[in-house]
Amino acid sequence: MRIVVRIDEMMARRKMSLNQLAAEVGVSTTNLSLLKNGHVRGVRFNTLLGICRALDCRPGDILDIEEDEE
Amino acid sequence: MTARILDWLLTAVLMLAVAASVIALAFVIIAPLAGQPLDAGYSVRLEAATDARSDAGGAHADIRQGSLIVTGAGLVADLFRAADVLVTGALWIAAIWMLRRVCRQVASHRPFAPDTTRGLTLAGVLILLVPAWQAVRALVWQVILFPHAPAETTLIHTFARVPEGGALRMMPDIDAGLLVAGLVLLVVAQAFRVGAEVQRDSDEIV
Repeated sequence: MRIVVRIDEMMARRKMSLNQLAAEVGVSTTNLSLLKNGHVRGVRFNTLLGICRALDCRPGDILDIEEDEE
Repeated sequence: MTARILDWLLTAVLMLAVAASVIALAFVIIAPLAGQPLDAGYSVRLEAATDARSDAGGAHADIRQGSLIVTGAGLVADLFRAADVLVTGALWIAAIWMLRRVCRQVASHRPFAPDTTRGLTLAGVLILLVPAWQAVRALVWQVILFPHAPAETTLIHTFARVPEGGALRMMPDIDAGLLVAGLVLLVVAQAFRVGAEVQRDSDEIV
């Protein structure tokens, strides 16, 4: 099992670009892109809170658990 | 002391070490070629007690440790002296160079990096190699160079006299401080390795 980040779905629903979201959250576009593509080890609570505020959603809307493929 | 001052200091020490090594190497090569025999001093131990005793209140002391000056021990010894200067100089220069590199990485405000760990480990190993080389040097003199020294070799020792059947054993002048310093650097390198892992974790958390 692994945690997957589904920011892109919420961004599409809110019609928000990566640059706009990065500016609102206060992180770099590079870091947000890494988070979106699952290339990070973790996410800080305040970053998660910033994303939830910007996308008007709850943490469960952008984080999910995925079963590993055999 | 700031990393910048330490960097300047290490640069100055590095330049001094290079200059001293070059001068020493030139001296040990040129002196025998110019017919000037080289002197070298070593700590020695007398295997049999000498008559040099000091009686004080019924107590007496046997003098068993002293020093030995060797003058003109032949071509092989001269070549070994040159190799000794080369190896010792190279070890010191490389160790100071690595410490200077580590110092610069610390000054760059990202000290916990794999390069710093590697640099500290290498500097520690190089410093540990200095006393190891000192032990090898003593062994080479004792086992190879002394028994095959030419007849014109002059040996001057600090003992009153060496009794019949007595023998001088060279003592390896191993610097215990360097052993400790090398080990301390290896411990610090391990701490930096853990720090580098923590830094990587921190970098990969958004």
